[in-house]
Amino acid sequence: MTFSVEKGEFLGIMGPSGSGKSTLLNVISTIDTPSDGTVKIGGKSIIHLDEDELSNFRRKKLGFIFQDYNLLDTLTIKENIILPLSLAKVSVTLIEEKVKKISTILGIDSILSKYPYEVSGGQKQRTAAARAIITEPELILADEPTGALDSKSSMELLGSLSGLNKQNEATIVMVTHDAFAASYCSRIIFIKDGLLDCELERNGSRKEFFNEILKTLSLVGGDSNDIV
Amino acid sequence: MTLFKLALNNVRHNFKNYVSYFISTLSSVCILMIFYSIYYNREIQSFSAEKAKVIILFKVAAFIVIIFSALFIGYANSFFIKNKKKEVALYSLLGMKKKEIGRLMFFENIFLGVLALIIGIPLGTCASSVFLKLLTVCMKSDTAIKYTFDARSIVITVLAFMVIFLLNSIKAYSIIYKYKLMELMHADKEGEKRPKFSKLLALVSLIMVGSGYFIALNVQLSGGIQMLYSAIIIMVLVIAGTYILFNNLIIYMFKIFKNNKKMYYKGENLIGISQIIYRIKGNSNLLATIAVISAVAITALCFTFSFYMFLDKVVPNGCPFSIMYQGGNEDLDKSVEEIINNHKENKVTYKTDIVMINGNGLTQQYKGPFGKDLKAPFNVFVISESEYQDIVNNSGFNTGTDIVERPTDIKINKENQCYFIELSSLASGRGRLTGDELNTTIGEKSYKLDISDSDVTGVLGVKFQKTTIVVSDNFFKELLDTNRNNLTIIRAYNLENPLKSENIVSDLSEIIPKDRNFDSYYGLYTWSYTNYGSYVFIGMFLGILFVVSTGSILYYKQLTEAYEDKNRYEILSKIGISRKEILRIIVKQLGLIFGMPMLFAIMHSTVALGVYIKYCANGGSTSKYIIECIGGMMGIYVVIYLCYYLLSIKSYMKVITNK
Repeated sequence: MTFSVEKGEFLGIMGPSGSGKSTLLNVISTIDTPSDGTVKIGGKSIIHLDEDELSNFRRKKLGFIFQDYNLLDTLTIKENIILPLSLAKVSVTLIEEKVKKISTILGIDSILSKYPYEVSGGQKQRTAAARAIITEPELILADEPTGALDSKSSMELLGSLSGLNKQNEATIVMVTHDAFAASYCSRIIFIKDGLLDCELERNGSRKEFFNEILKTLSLVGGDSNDIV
Repeated sequence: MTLFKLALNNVRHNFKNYVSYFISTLSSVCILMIFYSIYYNREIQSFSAEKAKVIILFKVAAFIVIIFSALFIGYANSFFIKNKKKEVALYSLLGMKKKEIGRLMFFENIFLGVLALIIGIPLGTCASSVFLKLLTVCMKSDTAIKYTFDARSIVITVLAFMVIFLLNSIKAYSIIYKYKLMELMHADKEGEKRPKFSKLLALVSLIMVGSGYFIALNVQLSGGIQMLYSAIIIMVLVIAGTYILFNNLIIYMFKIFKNNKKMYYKGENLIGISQIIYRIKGNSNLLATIAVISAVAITALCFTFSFYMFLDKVVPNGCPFSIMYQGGNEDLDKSVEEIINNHKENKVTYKTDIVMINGNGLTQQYKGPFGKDLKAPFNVFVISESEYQDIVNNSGFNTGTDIVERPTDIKINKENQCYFIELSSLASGRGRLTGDELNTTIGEKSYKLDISDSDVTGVLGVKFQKTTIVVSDNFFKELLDTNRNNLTIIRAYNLENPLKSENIVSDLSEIIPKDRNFDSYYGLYTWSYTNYGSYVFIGMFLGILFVVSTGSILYYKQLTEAYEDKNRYEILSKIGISRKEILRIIVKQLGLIFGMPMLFAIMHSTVALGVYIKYCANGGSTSKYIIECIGGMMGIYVVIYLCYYLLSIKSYMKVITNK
């Protein structure tokens, strides 16, 4: 399976459980290494990077919204969000400014001083998203970012992702089950058993795209409950 | 499957989880076994039976060892239980009755304890012969103390540990009843509560420790019950202060740091400091305990070590020549000379007769030896200035081993002046009596002498020591003419190798009558080492026990935390933190955990040892020497502790990077 993502694209990856979506994302993010094949970002292979280059890449170029949040329970919500900035030694005023902006957008500004185990799953997911996008990375990888969100907050999160995509020209690769979430993408690839099944490009409005996705899903046979 | 079998299987299959607990238990059994093997050793028993102080010391030390073993195993046990809570919750979830799980925990603990005893007792027995050799070395004894088997050592070890294990097992048993299922499931979230502290208590702790230091440094060491009271007050203030300090001030300081966003949001501080704050409440009592124990250990080690090193140097002060006895009897002198000459292996390098005139005296300030007020004239020896110089230059004082410096620039300018040597427990007091007047009666005549110079360092050794006045050679000659029958003469020999004069000394001690005050360098040397060697040994033993156990406690604690933190470091690595940065975070984090108690331990012991130095030696080369010994010993202690720190970093890294 070979595919490429253009800079500034908002790519969706869909497919049934076990088709290898998350593995694909992990390989792109360098968390996992592929048994075969290469991943090139900006024309440069990232497979054979050494330890330091890997962490540099993850920190500077990449924002990863994990399915299982991966928040540190020793840090407050705010501290979790600013972690990448503090590691990059960004000034305190800039940190405060950014965290205020982003937490307002994602609606988590009221829980900033709480600890992860004190907030709900949706709030944790938004925190994870905030942490991933606060550095305004060139590449954002999102693994089921709306999985634990109600429809309102999932709309807000997707809205801010697509905002980042448009304003900052950030490239986004998002794995999702959810056709509604997928409809925010500009292009969707469907994979099945580790192989590229088909591709879908958005031409018209989001509503039309949403219907197209549903149609394709029924053809390629995504998880039936996702379609409804 | 019976409960007992399940417990047995648990231990067998999960041995890895049990290893750290088991090792702690095993080493405690070994240490107690070693100690009691030595305590009940036949030779030690017969030796210490003569000396009440040694027996008391051994008893106190034995008590400390037991208490410490209990503490140590208690800590190991609570880590162990903490790691087991989830397992317990699982049993509970699967429908096991609380009673059954409780009994399971109880059996597991007992089983591990019995195993530790079975392995630890023979191991400790073997190790004790090594420690007996060490004791022999400490005593500088030529004949090694042989290991003797005594069942009492095993009985006491088994009894002590049975009680300890029983208490721990009861604790494990009660865990089940105390906690709710939900709490057990989330056992690793314990300590997550935001640490509470009080600013007032933080201040109080500073005041307590500070005033403890102040009293320690300013109280007059007069001995007696009053000193004991102030010692207890100081201990209570400092120890309680340390606990309150770790529970409040330290947390407060981290909070202040946390509020300083510029520092806190910089690089890895955010992760490192938050991790520490997250754990501090659960750790602060442990850290305080380690601070207190280390302080005691450092003080004990430094004190005994410097004392031991000092021993070598004070022997010449006790017996300045190789052989000394009261001469003046021609027959005796002749036979002594014969014996010494018969031992061809040890040549005489110096021989002298120290001639002293007996007298008595009275002064304004000095009314008797060792600060006593005799209300009557005290006895004195009168020697000439050249005799004094002869002794200083030719005795053991001059071999370089003696560290008590004796003045050679004494000022006697006129015939009616004298240099006055006090008998005193003061460490220094040169010129203390200068300007005082001495009324002395020598023979039948009375004299008034001006004390032009004085000191507290005698030159005649312990057997002959007496208040001594040194007068000018002319005046001494004058006195000698009228006091021919009022003399005390010390016959003194120096041998080529005084430490190898055992045979000469034993031969001489047979022929010289008791009232002739026979003394030898060799005799005093061996006496000092056999007597004080055991003190040093106990001090060292406890010191080593403490450093090893505090180090291990912290090590195991860090290891337990590493397993809990593993997940966190995986997250950090996923969001792009390199191994190097993780290592830096861990170095800092563990550095604070290991560093804080050590800092307070060093501060506490420095104050305690400062008092010792102040009391023992007021300035001069003596205190310089003691400070060197103490510094060296502290250095060694810190280095051993540092090894545990480095080992912890290594293991911590291994745990969190191991997938």
